[in-house]
Amino acid sequence: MKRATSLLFALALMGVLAGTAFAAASDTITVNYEVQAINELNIDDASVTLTVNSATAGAVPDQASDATTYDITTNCAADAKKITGALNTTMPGGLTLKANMTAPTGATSAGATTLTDVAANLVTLIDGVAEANIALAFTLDATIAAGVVGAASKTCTLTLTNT
Amino acid sequence: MRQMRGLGLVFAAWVLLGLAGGCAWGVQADITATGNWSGTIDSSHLTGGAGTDLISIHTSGSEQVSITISNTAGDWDFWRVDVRKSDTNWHADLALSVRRTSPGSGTGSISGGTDYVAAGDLDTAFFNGRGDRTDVYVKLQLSGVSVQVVPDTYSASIVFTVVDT
Repeated sequence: MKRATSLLFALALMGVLAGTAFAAASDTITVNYEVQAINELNIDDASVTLTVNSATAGAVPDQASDATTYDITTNCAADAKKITGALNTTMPGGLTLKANMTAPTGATSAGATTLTDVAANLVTLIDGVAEANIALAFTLDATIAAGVVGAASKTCTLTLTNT
Repeated sequence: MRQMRGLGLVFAAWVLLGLAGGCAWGVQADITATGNWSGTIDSSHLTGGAGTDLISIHTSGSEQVSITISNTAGDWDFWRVDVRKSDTNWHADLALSVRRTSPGSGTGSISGGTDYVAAGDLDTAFFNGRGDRTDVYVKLQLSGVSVQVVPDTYSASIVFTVVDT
């Protein structure tokens, strides 16, 4: 009888413990979030002005320069983007316009690069980044052969595109 | 006669242990959670246009998720709700948190969970209470959003578990 009582008592205790240990139920909700591609590029000044108007005797005319800054935000994968630069029309003969973009963190600058009406790489290997006020410098060189060139405007388009 | 008395003692112990355990045998509290959450992050979520990063924290509505605890053994059946996250496609920078925004209704009681609780890979205590509770509202928070999170659709399940205590 004692054994039977002990057995029943043990079963009762196990039942209580089991009832506590496995007394759980679950339900689930789902969270879906889409992160879209974000590629924003902004040149901080609407224009730069370059005037070649001096030279050292016996040398080519002095280089003219002006600078602005740019801002970039992209959530691309590593090394997935680059910035190219192109003019709306090619420069007159004897004039060379160059752009030198400082690279945002993690990217690589091509240095001073001649601008034409064909897109040229200015910054490559861009990672996901958000930086503002990064240096962007322009220079204009004129040869003697260019002569006197009247004031003119060119539109330089910078494009953030896939590598 | 002695056998009968012995069985009676066993039965009494059974009942007392069941009550002391805070649960009624065969009764399993149930939990129901309704209300999924979805959203889109695009350039409109930049803090200030080009050169700035994305807003880091995004929150759902205050009543995004409704939780109901039912089938308890009564107003003195104590329970706890745990929460965890189960990833389907997730980014390591992203984190999900939950916060209870209402007590719900019912004759029992509820406490805790009114500050954000991170939903990690393991069950974490969220809130607790006793008795049946209906429409306990929960708000969700997504944090860690930045340009380091590459474009994709991220999906995770949030698992709410009721545990008898």
